[in-house]
Amino acid sequence: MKGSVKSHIKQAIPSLVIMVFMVGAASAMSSRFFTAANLRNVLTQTAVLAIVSAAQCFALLIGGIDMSVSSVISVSTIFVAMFSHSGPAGLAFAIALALAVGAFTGFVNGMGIVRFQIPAMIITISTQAFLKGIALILMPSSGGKVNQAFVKVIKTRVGIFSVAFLLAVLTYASAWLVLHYTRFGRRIYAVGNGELYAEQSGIDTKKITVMVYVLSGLIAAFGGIILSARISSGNPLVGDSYAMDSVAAAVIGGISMNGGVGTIAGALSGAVILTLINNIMNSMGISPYYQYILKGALLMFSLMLFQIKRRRTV
Amino acid sequence: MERGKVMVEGRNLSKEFNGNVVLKDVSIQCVQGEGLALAGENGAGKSTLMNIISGGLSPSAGTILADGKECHFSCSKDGRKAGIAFVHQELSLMREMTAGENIMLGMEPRRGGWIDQKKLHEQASAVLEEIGYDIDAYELVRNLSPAQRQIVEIAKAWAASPRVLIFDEPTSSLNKAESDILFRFIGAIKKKGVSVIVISHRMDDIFATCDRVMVLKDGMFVFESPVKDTDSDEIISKMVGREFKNVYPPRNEVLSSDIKLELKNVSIGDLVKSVSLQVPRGAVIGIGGLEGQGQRHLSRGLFGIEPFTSGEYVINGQAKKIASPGDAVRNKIAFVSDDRKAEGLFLDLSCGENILSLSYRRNSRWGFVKKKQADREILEGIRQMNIKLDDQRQAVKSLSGGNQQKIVFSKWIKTNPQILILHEPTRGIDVQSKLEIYELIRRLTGEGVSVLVFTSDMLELIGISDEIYVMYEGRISGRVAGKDATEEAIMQLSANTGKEERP
Repeated sequence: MKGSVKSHIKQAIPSLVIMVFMVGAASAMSSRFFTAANLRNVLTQTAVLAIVSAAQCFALLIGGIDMSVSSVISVSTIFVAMFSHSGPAGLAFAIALALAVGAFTGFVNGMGIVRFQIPAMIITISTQAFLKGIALILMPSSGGKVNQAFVKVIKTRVGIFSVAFLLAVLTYASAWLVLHYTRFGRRIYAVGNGELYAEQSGIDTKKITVMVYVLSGLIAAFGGIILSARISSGNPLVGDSYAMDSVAAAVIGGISMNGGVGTIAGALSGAVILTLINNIMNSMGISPYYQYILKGALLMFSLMLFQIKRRRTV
Repeated sequence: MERGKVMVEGRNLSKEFNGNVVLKDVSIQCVQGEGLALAGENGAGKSTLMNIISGGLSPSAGTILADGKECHFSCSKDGRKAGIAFVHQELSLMREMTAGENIMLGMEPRRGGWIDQKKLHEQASAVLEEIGYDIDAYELVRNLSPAQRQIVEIAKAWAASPRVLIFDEPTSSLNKAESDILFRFIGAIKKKGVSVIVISHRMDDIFATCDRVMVLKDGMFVFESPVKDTDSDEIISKMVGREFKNVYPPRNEVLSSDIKLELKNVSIGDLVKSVSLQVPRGAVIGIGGLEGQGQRHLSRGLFGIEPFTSGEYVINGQAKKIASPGDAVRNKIAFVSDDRKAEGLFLDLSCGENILSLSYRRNSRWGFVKKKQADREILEGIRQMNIKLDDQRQAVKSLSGGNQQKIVFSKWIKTNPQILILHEPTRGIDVQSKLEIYELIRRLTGEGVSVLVFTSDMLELIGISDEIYVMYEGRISGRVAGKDATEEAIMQLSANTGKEERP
């Protein structure tokens, strides 16, 4: 580990500790928790949230946010459910269409931010609403058929892993390399640290910003495609919870809401933590309503921790 | 010594901002292997000229030639491509990245497409070593001292192998030993044929690093000479000595012995160091000095924005705790910020709402605004300050700078302040409004209000103040009575040339 990567990784340590603690506590409380079947279940449930959180990380790292991921996910599931059952060609078309829509949404977000100086939160909520409308028109309620061969591949087990989770790992490995070992990645951190400074250093901050939102849209669409296989259908509302949850996962994982600080690895543990909350509370038979309270508390705690640290270092 | 070849040249450069001419017909040559010092007071146009040369600004008139060929820079990236690097005074480093990552930003060495972190930090270390400083390239910038950051900034500029290297006040955060290392480095790169430009107020910097000196005043060229043929007294006299226009209302002959406000050894971390001063009732006390010597922090300390970390803050003989702007307002202190748009006004609200923004308590009952009384107060404020507007309901941002500033004053006067802290009170406003504000200041002091004026405009400082304190590196470097003050004397104190004891 060379350079600032080390300090970014430190940001992720609290979330890793929480994750390990939760696994330990759950294993102690229930003998059914630490079994291959349940662990595989947790990891598979984590996969889509993890992928979307990776998308969110890019936006957060440049000091932005991407709330449109939720609708990109929903609309992607719909495309797969509408077109993929006809065969491999249909599946390929659906995947291409989903990725294109994700990228285009990101492009609109990015342009809105750099050209019209619209705050990231506002423009991405706008595109989220717009796309949600399209999703509801295309498929008013859950339905359609997803290519069964595709479903099978995504659900294939590899040891305690599933293909869905392995794809999430692949996403993280690629994102890790891009963020820490390419010039594009350095520039993302630079813009997040201070846009004006980055500009003075000769960085085309506008281009970086647009590219980041395009990338975020692409990754979110990828997550949607995988989700369609897991639910075997298209659903106009299935993505809704992912906008907030992906932000929560990233922040719990140590990514700063102010940009420029944190590492993608943290988001992965953040996603696992959120999934564990669901999994553990479900297995204990606790109402899902309490899960919101716990998630909210955890998010507040993480944000406060951040601000305390910030005050100390400034 | 034979002069080298001209690498970059600016011919007859002018620049205006909204009709305000800040640079007029100035030509400059960057010569291979030569050090050029650019001197002048605050606002003389030095930074504007350098921003034009490095591509950060485009000139309103005039041409830039690189190697004899005309070129148009549209951003600093273009200037960088032409081999011009600018070390800004305000640092532009990424706090959460290592020193090495900052230095090599945009030039990261790669192996098979991936950044080679080890090589990157080795190269950065080599650059730092070349400059002569021992800084760990792996250290995060946020853990570095201001001096170390300054060096990293220089290393970042030098890593791009520029042909022309511009320094803006390079030694402002360095101590003597550190400055000497930098001077040696500048000497070494000049030998390599790099053209160096140093913007500096410090005569030491100029004599240690430069071969030629050029002086700007009020945006115009006034003087150029080989450094060996001149001395600091001549340079300072060229920088100052403007025609003194008597636009200022008469000052107080005798200061009241009734001390309204007193600071006893107040500090804010390293930014303001043990400052003591006294503001008598009805007096105007001016605070001068070069830009960035702690004036901004002191003014904000006085108003509780950046509370003092030590020392005593005494009002009317009683020690007070002013830990927030709220505390300040309760103690009848008013503050006119140097950043009118960000801190002085609610830009999108109407003129009336701005004028009344601090006195709604008086103009409302049970939480509801008393419309008639409020309107009356607004009109009175507009008349009193001679604010030119069509309708008090128009947004404040549609007014000219001068009228905007009058609204800021009007807002504060409605709180009946006893102490007025003014930071650059006439920056960016027209002459007529300036005069009106000077007269207002004197009218208020006549009513017993005490005023502290922080200004970088030398003439204003001398013209308006009953007494002047000069700041240097966070301390008060000298104190002069307003009627005895000369530009030379203030400049000597500001540049801390240690000549203040001279008769």
